[in-house]
Amino acid sequence: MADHHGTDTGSDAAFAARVAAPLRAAERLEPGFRERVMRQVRREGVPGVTALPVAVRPRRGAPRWLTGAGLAAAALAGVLLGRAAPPRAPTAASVARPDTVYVVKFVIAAPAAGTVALVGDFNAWDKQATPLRPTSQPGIWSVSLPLAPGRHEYAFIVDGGEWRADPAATRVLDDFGTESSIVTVGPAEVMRAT
Amino acid sequence: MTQALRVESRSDGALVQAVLRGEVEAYGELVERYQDEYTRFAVRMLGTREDAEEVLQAAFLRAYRALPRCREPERFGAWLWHIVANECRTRATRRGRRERRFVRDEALLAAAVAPAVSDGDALEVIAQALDALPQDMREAFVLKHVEERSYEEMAEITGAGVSALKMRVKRACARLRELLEDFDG
Repeated sequence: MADHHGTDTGSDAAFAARVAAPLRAAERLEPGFRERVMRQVRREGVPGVTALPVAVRPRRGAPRWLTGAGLAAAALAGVLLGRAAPPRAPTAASVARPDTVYVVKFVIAAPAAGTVALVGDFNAWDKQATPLRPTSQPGIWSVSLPLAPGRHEYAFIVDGGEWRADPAATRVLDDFGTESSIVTVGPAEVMRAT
Repeated sequence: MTQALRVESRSDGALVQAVLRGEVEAYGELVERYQDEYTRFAVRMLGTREDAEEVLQAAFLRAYRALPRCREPERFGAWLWHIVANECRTRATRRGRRERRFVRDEALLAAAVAPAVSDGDALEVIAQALDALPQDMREAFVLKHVEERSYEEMAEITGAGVSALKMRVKRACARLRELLEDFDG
């Protein structure tokens, strides 16, 4: 039997089987592997339940609010408008003053949801940490929280179990095969440059 | 009168949820359940049991830290496969071709023509040839023909498409034929 590449797949299969046979021999780890892993696991504690440090001190006066750019028919992310910063090379983390607070508003349309939570690298992906609240507009949920300047990955958890990336934001497939969304926090000129 | 105590093992999903509720020791059951499943793959990808153990430790710890992000806890094993494959890839890339485990041993390869080649020698010869393959071809060959995964499972593990994986397996076979002329029928 030949495939569309014109090679004989029958002899390929036979060759592969002969070559693979010795490779199928079992391999075992040194005894105590489980304990070596668990020693580190016990040091780290329960995953996803770590207190986040308060990284910034607010400047005098109200923090700058970064709000969404309006509702779309589907969900939308908090789009960021930064406070003015002195002209520098446009990278978010390098330009932002250390005591700058950026408050990001996350918004999603989920009319059928009973609960919506925000998870991300800023809350250790803990679905208990940041619930969204229904807004005055039916089916629209939101939450605002301070984020450090830089790039953040996030997603929404609907009804405790459904993972939902933000359809209006840039998406990324992480190393675990999970699709998350990206938000970059920083001054306005950084946002225009990215 | 004695009564047998039946201890029922918990499902992957139950163990993951238990860990997330604070029962950290439940993760040990997952480690026990899966530690052997990936060892052979890691050894075939990296060449030594020592490297394989380091990578598997890293993979289990990485999975532990990311447990809140495991979307289908009942399929923890499949999710962990993805992490193990990634860790093997990262380690192999860092190690680079300058530090390949094998120097191509022409004498050993030549000796493979001898009629009485021991199983141990055959494994050594074939492992040398496998180590000479580009990483993506090696991974595809090992998953398909050593671990006997379907192409759909391989796509989930590697993130590559089925067509690409079939091409990698085909090219791996072709390259192995060149390296192992005397094993070819």
